[in-house]
Amino acid sequence: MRVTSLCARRGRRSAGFATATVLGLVAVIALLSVGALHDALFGELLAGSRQLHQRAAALAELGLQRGMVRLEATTSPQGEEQSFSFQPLAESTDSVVVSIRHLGASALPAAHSMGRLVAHHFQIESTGHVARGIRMSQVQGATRVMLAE
Amino acid sequence: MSQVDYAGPANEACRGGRALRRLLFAALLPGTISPAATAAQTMAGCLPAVSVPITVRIGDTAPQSALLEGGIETPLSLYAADSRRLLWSAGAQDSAAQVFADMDAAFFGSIAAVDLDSDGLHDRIYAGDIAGRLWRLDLHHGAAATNWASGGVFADFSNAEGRGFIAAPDVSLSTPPGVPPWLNIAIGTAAPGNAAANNRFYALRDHAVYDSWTDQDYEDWKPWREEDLLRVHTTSQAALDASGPGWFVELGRGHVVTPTLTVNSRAVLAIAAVLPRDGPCEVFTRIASFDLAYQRIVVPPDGSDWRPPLPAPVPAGEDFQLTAVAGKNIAQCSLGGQHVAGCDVDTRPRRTWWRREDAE
Repeated sequence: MRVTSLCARRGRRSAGFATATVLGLVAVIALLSVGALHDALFGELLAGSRQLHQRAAALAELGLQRGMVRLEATTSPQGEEQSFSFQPLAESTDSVVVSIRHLGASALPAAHSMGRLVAHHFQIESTGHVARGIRMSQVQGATRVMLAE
Repeated sequence: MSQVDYAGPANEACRGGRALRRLLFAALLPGTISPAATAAQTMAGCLPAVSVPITVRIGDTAPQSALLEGGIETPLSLYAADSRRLLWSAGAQDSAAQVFADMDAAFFGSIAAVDLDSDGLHDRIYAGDIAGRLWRLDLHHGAAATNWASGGVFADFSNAEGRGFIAAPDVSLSTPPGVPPWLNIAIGTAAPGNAAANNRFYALRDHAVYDSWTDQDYEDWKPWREEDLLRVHTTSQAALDASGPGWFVELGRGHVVTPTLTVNSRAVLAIAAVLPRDGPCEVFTRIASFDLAYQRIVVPPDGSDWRPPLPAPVPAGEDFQLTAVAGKNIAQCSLGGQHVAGCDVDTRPRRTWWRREDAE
């Protein structure tokens, strides 16, 4: 009888330890899972943000290209700062704002006859705007050799 | 750009332009002026008188527009553009506002004024005289007429063949990466009175681009001579010599009376050959091209003549014309109404620097 009661006491002790161990393991696994989930969500958020930044950069580059085309079509380099904006895709809220500024002219353009030709210097600033208020600006310098007036 | 001005006889008498032009055309038309007197009179007005527009500030005055002209008795004269009042003159005689002891040869139209800092005021003059010397003068804004310019002979190519400068120097800036910039002075010679002269094209380099020299600097300067320059042939290898004084090419017969035009470091030169018999003021012209960056003659890929002739004669003394072509980003180059493809100008904008602003 005495033996039996000792065994029973030992069994109860083991069952208590196992429960605590299992509960501890579950808690650790739960913490790890929450951490992993948080990492995944944060990573997704980061990837989304990075994608938007890249999109904004691509839009800014597109704005620079349109600015170069606009500059090419200009017949007179002097004048007010030109600004324009556009939305590349009608169904999207993405937009680009471009400004072209004439910085000055050089009467002695490199590699060209002085007096006959003049080098005009420009700055094109283009900003791509995307969702979450993310934007990115690129500034491009450009030179155009034109006939001296 | 030179302003073409057919000045009246009163001006001709003191500037001597007509006499020089008559001399030049006598050289261009050897033995074909018949009767000589009539032909000479016909030809006398062929080369236009040249007045170079220049903006100056002499003395304590506001900047003003002026015209710089060459002549015989007074080699260089500067007149107010509006009133024709004499503002400044230079020569070897005491009657000139500024006396340069060696300025004893006439200047015709070989004058170029340079605005180095794009402030609207011209800072330097390059002028070639009929004796084959290229002068450089630095202008001192606000100084009195008696010491407005400091200058001297920059290159001395005086010779026994009678070659001198009639066409204006063509000035362009070279800015190769990694070396200090320099000014290219491209200029060709003509030999009034010697139809058989072997004329030259000179591509000189002024390494003191933005330095204003004093009288002492000019006294210390040893003018470059032809033996200091590299002689370039059609077979010469292309070379990039950033420190040398320049190079030259022998053109053979034919005179340079039209300023060179430089586009993208390629200098295009018109060589006036002969006048058509009994024709108007026209010359048969050959076109040569030179690469100023690599100091070489541009030879056609098929090995044909590097001085191809223009199909038709062109009016004597006419400059290369650049005309913007509507709808195309190109300025077409022509001489006497004939297209010269080698000096067409691409006027499209080119990207230079780039930067990214901070992103948000």
